[in-house]
Order: sequence, then structure tokens, then C-alpha cells
Amino acid sequence: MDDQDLDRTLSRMIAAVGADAQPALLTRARARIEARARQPRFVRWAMQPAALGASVALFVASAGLSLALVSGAPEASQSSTLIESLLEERGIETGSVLGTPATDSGSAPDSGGAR
Amino acid sequence: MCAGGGDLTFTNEGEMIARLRRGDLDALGELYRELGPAMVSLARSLLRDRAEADDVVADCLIRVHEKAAGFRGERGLRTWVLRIVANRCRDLLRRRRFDAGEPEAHDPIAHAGLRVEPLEEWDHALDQEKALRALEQAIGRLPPEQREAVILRDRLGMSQEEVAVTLGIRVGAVKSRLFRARETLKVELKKLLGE
Repeated sequence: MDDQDLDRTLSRMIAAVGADAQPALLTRARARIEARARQPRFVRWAMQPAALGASVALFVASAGLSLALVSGAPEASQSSTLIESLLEERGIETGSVLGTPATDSGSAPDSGGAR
Repeated sequence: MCAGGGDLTFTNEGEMIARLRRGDLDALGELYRELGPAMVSLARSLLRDRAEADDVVADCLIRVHEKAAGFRGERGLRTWVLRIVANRCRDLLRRRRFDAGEPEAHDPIAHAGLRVEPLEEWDHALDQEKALRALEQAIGRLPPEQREAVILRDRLGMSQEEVAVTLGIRVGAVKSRLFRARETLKVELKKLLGE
């Protein structure tokens, strides 16, 4: 068999195999199209790839906004504890309260024992 | 025989496109009656799995219905529809790349849900079905880009230009893919014919 005959046989053999269209596939597709048409517009939109893009964009925007809000907030004081920062806010010297040595009576100034 | 009806054209393609763009489901039915065999043959030949291929065809019909509004019809309905099928199959084949693949013991024609049209002028000393199965296995071993070119050109009877439009490549690339594929298949065929 020469090369041309081989080519012809090959083409015939490839073309001899095929498939028929099953009506069931069209029925399946139509049912899905009709079911989609009955869904609310938002649900239909949410099922599209564009919805994923939109939610990612929303996430990035909200992350950016929170970052901007945090960086724009007044700087926290140097106080190391919550008590210190509260006292500092009220204008009380931390050293005079927390660092005051015990009174002669031996009780702490805020204990009520010195009265 | 051509699985896809090589000379297939709609009597009034423009009207068909206009109906599809309006979302006419009867037009989708007519499109499937006309292009269904080509869609199913392409999907089953590329994926070699009947159930998966049928899912692809159903998905593609939905896609045609959804995307028809944006289709301008410049490249023809058949190439547009078959391009959707080929792209979807390509995606699935890419995902399947690391799978073990179909075992050689499978009957490649039956497993893919394909059917055989008996060949006339065949040397009766040779078992035709066996030869077609062996050739189908050889087609299955081709690289996917060569396989799709061979299926579109030789099984669906498309011209090289139509294959190029369907695959989104140049005619030169189609020719090169077809040449390489056919050289491989001819070696297999020579073995089958005992030369």
C-alpha cells in the first residue's frame, strides 16, 4: 500500500467512528435553563464568576478602608498598662498613687485603714 | 461518513442566530438537531468518557443559550459552537493531566460511547472492528492538540480553515499538527495492516 492509499484508508477509518446526538441531553440542558430563569435575579448573578470577582473586590476595599481607619486613629499613649493610661487620662500622676510607700499605719492609702 | 456532517450549514444562519440571541429555546433545539452529532462526537472523541462528554455537551448548550446575545456571527455558528465544546474539553483534559488515564484494556470505542459505521472496500481478511479499536487507541495516545485537530478535520469533516477558527490557531499550525498526528497514526496503521 503506497502512502496515498495509506492516507485515504486512515481518513476513512477515522471518519467511520462517530456518535449520535441524544435527545436527552437537550432535555437536560433545557430543564436547567428554565430552572435558572425561575431563580431571582440576585441568585442568578451570585452564581456567575463575576460575583466572585465582585466579592473579592469588596473584601479588598473593606480591608483597605479598615487599614486607613486604623492608621488615621490618634496614637496610643506610651502607658504600659490599662490602669496607667486611665490615670493618665484623668491627670493623676501614676508615681504618686501606685508608687506611694505604705503609710505609718502600715495600711495602703486606698485601703481605708489610715482614717 | 462524517460524524459531524461535513457539509452542514443552516438554511438561514442569520435568522437562527437572531432567534438564539432572543433566547428562543426552540432555536436551541434546532441547533442541537443540526450540530448535536458533531458536538457529541467531538466531546466523546476528545474525552473518551461517555458520561463526562455528555455533561460537557449539556453544559455547552446552556453556554450557547447564555452567550448567544454577544455572538456576532462573523465566524459561523458551527465553528463557534464547536469552539465552545473544544475549549471545555481542553479544560477538563488539563485537569485530568495527572490522572492515571484510561486503562489500555478498555474498549476505547465502547467506553467513549462512540459507534462504528462499517467500512466498504475493506480487506475482509482483517477484523475491521479490531483495527478501528486499535486506531482509536492510537488516537487516544496522541497529544491533545494533535488529537483535536485530527478529530475536527477527519472525523467531523471540517476544512483546515474551519479547524483553525475553531481552535483559535493559525492554518499553518493546523497543518503542522495534522501532519505530525497523521505520521504517528500511519505508523500504527502499517502495523495493523501487517506491512
